[in-house]
Amino acid sequence: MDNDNLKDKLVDFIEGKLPPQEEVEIQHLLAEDEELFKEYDQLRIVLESLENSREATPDHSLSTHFYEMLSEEKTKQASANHLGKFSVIYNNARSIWKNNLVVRIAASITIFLAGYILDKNIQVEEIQTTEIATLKEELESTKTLVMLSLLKQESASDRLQAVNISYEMEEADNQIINALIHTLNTDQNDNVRLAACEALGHYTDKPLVINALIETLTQQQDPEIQLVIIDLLVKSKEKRAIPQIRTLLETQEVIQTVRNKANEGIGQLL
Amino acid sequence: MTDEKVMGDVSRGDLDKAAILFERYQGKMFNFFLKMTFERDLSQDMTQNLFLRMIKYRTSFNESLSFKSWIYQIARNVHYDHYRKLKGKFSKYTDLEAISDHLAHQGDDKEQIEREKSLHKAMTLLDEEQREILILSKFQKLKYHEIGKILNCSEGAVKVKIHRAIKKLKGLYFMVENN
Repeated sequence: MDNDNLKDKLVDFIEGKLPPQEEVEIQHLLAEDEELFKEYDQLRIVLESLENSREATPDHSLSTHFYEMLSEEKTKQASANHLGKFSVIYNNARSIWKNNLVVRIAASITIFLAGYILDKNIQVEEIQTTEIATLKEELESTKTLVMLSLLKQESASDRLQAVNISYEMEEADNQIINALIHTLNTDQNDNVRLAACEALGHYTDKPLVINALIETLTQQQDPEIQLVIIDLLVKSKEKRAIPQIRTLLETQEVIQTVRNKANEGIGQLL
Repeated sequence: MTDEKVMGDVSRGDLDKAAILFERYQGKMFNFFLKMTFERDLSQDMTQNLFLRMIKYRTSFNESLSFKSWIYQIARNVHYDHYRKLKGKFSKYTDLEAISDHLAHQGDDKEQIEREKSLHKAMTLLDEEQREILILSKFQKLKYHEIGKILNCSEGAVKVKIHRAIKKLKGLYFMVENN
């Protein structure tokens, strides 16, 4: 194995892509050659840094702008469909008018169609206003469908996105709320559960949410989630939460930060 | 439902389905632009522009081909067009420090944070072609054959280019670390 070839193999070796025989060969060479080992070690550090590099999250405005743009495109599409119908009628009228043999009939049809077209034009603005309202409704229901479908995905990042979509909803209905509660109670990923908990924090005016938060408090193991729930219940001045917070305090595994928050919360609620 | 099937429906006029692709890809595409430019606002604008193009040119999508390759090709064009308009000006990586700080998790030790910063700095010193191929492979986690389709070259050529880029990055990384 020449030197360049060997260095190429080091990347594959670190990434575990070499056949077992070559892997053993590289291991021997690394044990014998100090310079080669240094090269290997540096490559390993760089590859690990690449592997561990994190992803940033775009601002919510990206999502807002996208859905506005989508709504505009749908309006344009709907208008284009109307214009299409308009031009078909107009072209038909023209072809009849050009036919000298049936001039009288053509004239009367043209006059009739002209009236129809004028009427259509007056109605266009009205139709568009209704359409925009309908499109908005459709968009909300699409967001609901997308959210519910993403929540069922295997990938935690997909489920996290689903939770984030709930922030863009003008009004979350019970279907959305129940999906978020279900996620908070059952999702295997801590980050997804925490995100669901924070999303529910926007709907603490709903009794369904408050009841679910009270009920789940003692079931949650993650301290961050426990802290968020206590905070939400205290901010909502929910006295019914006191017994559950006390039960949480009796649990041995609860960390000190949560205990402090729980004691402070009970003090504020009493 | 596969990306290709969803985009096929969008191209036939079912625009609502574009929301599914937006939710699946917005994070990935934002991070692609962010690592290319290290400018946050610009990356946000480029991501917005990308999805605008996806809808505008929806009828050009061929359902029998990969959606992923198609969307990354549009992303590369969005990036290229931005700098072409600026006639040869390149990113000044204005948010490099801020982005590195932001990405460094609070719970990380100092060494890990410094490594991430050195990595980002070294990435900006790579030439654009090498930076792009590493972003596609290591950050976007695309497979060699997928990158080959995007860059229009063979799987073997992709592998060679990635290995070269890693070696170059290694040199730059330790140069940054030692300064």
